[in-house]
Amino acid sequence: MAIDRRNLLLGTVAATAARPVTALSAKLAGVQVAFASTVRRADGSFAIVLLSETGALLREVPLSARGHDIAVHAASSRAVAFARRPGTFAVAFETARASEPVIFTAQDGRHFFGHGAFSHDGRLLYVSENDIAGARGVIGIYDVARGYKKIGEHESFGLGPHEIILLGDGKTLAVANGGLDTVPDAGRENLNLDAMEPSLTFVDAASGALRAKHVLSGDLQQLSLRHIAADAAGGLWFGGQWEGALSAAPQLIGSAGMDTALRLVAPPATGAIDLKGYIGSIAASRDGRYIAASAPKAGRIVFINAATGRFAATSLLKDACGIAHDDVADFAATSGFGTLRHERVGGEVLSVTELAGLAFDNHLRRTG
Amino acid sequence: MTVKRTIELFVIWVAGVAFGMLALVTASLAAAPQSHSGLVISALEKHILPRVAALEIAAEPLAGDVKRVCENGDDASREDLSGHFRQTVEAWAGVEFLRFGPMIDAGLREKISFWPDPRGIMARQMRPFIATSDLKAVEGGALAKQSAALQGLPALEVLLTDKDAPLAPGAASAFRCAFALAIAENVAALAHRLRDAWTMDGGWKDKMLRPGSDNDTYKGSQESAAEIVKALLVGFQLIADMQVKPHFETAATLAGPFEKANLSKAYYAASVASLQALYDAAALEDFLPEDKDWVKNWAGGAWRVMQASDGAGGRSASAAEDEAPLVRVLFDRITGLRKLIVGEMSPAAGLTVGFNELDGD
Repeated sequence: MAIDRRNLLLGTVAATAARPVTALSAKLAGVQVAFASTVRRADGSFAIVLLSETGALLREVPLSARGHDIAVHAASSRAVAFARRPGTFAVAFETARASEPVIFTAQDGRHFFGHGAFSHDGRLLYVSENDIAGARGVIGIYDVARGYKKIGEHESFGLGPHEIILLGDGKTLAVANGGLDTVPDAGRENLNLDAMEPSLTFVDAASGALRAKHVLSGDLQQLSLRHIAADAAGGLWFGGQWEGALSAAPQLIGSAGMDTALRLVAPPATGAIDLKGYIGSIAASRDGRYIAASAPKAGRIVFINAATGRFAATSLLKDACGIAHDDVADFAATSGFGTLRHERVGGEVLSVTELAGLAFDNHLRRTG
Repeated sequence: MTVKRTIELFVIWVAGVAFGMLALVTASLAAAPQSHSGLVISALEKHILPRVAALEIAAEPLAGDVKRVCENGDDASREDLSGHFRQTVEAWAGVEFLRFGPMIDAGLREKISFWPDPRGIMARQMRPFIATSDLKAVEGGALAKQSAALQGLPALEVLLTDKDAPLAPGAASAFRCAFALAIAENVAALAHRLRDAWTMDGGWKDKMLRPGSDNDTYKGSQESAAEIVKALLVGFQLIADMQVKPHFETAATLAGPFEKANLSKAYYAASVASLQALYDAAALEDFLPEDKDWVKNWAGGAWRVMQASDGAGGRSASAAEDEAPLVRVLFDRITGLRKLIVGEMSPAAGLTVGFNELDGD
């Protein structure tokens, strides 16, 4: 019987010390980097980790402070990890080989929000940033070939842009504007809770022109939009963070398109799922048919059928946050307790790997 | 050895054994950790409920004080107002970090105190508001419909400390007096709302005390106890980042809390005292195993540094003359203690707070 990757993983539960596999042994074993994430290490320091499909720790890139998300350009094996807001550093590295990382920083008067996206050709990097004095969200544009030199900016058309992705057309940037005003001097304090204006915007990547904008108002005004993913049909899915009283929290997950109105998912017939007011990350399956969203405060992952917009299933994982599409299962998920898990929509867990001493941060990215 | 001496020695031995056993029992009793529900009860009874009540009590006289200052303007009335304002600010510092439940409902926290305000929004809104002097905007509860920046203690602080236009009898101060009175009444109403939301039947106290499958927030006592731990962690973070850090980060421009009224140090002292009271009530150290005494010792040292400091590089009133912790040291102690709660005490208590669930992004 041939052993495919699914069979190899099926039913395995592995506990490993968080120690990098040596480059030689990795090469001999033909181990490929499959995932990247930022982490907190056991000694309290921070790093980027590169993991194999099965969760073997292949390489680490140290960070000077806590990171957040990683933008990946699979074709060139380039990746950039961003500081957690209101940080100002970014670290560019290669996923396929251990080259010296390139560190670049936000220009004076700007800080990063922790997310970015490459252009399809890999020549440009778009980064969500805060114009601190101007109290406006911007999309920084960086030239990869020139050592990530900043060459321009677009408006994000909202306050507090968080996740930013390039849609399948390669021309349109989708931005989740959290609607929150923050200033580094005041740490991570939200300064405009009574006047926040979260929105989803679609911005022309070349010209910076606004192509569409959906604003959340009324009962949804305090739903800070933070994380987004595109489905197979080009629909944009979002997960939010509720800034008001939990008892008044709406559904946190929804979708919208450039030409279609924003809508929230309907609660399942069996009753509302308690997500504790926070979606930590959201991802589409490789085929784009399903959306997975993590709710770390609730220790839960929810799966949504993108075509019907209905909840398909949920699974439990304490402090679940990182979510990425998976070749073996439908999704891979990570937790703040060092767990990497492969699971199918429907909650079937195919494998669990525990990386002792590591706390995975918000986001998990597939590198290829 | 005589029989009498033998008996004496036996009695002493028995007494010694008994004392030793008593000491062991006492020690084990002293170190016995409380249950999760016990932790919640302790935090509610020893900290949260008394302190939300203290805020309501402190804020209650403000409106009468403002009226008297505006009616007669004498020094005694001004001193009363100033004293009660200080007490209210200190009471507020004692609950401000309880950022869950009633505190985050309908922007209550921002309405009581719009701080930090690095963009100077309050000042920008107050200038035209006062210049317009529209009594309809402040009287009859109308202030509660204005921006949060105009509703709370920092706005009242501006009116109380403006030496160019002090509150006083007469037409020139009429609008400022009406504005100050409206703020005082509004803060008292908000403080009442906060206390009520905690203590009423079915309120947040009950929600924390009666976790279960039918509870929309806490499914078990572990969840309500974890809420207390999170509040502690938020408290440490707020003191470190908002009050201490600006004193050593040269680029920082954030004004301290209630700086105009010269109450930043009082605010710091009240914040630390309240946080320590919650820390003591939660008694997380009791969950630590014997080989973790170093954690308790380190925590004790951190609290001594926090108490000895005035939060701004000087020493507190209770500290020895040669004791004035550097702000950088103070910051490191606060953040270090926070890490010990996350990494040592909470796991020992079975209340591990996840890396991602603690602070969303």
